[in-house]
Amino acid sequence: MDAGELFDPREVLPESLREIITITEVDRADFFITDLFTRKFGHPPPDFPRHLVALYRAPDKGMHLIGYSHMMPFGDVYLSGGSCSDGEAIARMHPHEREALRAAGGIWFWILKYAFRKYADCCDAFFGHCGDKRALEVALAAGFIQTAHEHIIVNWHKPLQDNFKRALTAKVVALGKF
Amino acid sequence: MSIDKFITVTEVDEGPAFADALFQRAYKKPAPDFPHHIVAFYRRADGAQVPVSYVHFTDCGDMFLAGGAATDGNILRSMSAEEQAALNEYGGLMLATLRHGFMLYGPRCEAIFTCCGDKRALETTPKLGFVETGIQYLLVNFLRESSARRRREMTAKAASFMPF
Repeated sequence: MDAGELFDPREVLPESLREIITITEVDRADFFITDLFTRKFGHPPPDFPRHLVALYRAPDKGMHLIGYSHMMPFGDVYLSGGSCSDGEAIARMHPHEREALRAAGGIWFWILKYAFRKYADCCDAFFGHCGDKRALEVALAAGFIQTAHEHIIVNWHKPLQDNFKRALTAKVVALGKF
Repeated sequence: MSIDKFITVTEVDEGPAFADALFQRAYKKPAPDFPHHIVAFYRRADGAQVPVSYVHFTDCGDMFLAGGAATDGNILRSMSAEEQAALNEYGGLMLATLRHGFMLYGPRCEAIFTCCGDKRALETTPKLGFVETGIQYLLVNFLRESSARRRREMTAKAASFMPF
């Protein structure tokens, strides 16, 4: 599997968040997010790649999970799913840190930005399935656009012929909810 | 008790964000800012993940170089007696991080080299299959069948990067 574009991960996050938040891919999700994921979705997190976590660095050097997103390679596209944030952990941040995160767009916005950058060379497009109105606002702000299919969103991050876009979209739609 | 209950080892995208303090303490300089970074996280009683051990792997094409191993002794000492016993029984965190690197990068290369002069670390390196190269401090695990000449070539290449 392609490791992802060689880039400086610190460049993705705005300066206001760099000292307090780190986003990274991890090899397995269970150790970090089983409790949160099960609470949100009623089942354990995926046990296959690729897992992005956002960690808040507390003053005592402990790192707390505040967000997660699964980015699944699906042939020539990546599927974004299983995204969740930990409101309780975010509530434990200092008020000025929480405000900085809110002002910057929230943690899912930055996880998506990170994924689009890291995996840009790994796929031809990113697809998501989003039925939640608030989540959709964040997804669209991060770079997704609506497709003609309900709840299916896409980020065309590289130039593609229209017929190729239609083919990729049809493939994802055929997959059903993910 | 298995160390999996309280330790997870993973590659992360950014070394300094997780390992700068560890690395500074061990080597008096910042952690490497280029891939690949392996970190062992300790799950503290309050649920926080704390980076407790680190090792860096450099991709040199036909070989990987493992170096910059560092572990936070203060965090080790803060662990419960049962956790410390489990880690001792396992063989230590350096073994866990190196093993993870071997699992990830071993299939991609012909050999993994390391540079090691520390007496305690030298107790761990044989468990990974590292053997002496004939060059002081330079150890290797040749992961593929290769000729003596090819091994000399790779060893000379690895030696040119020392210290790492």
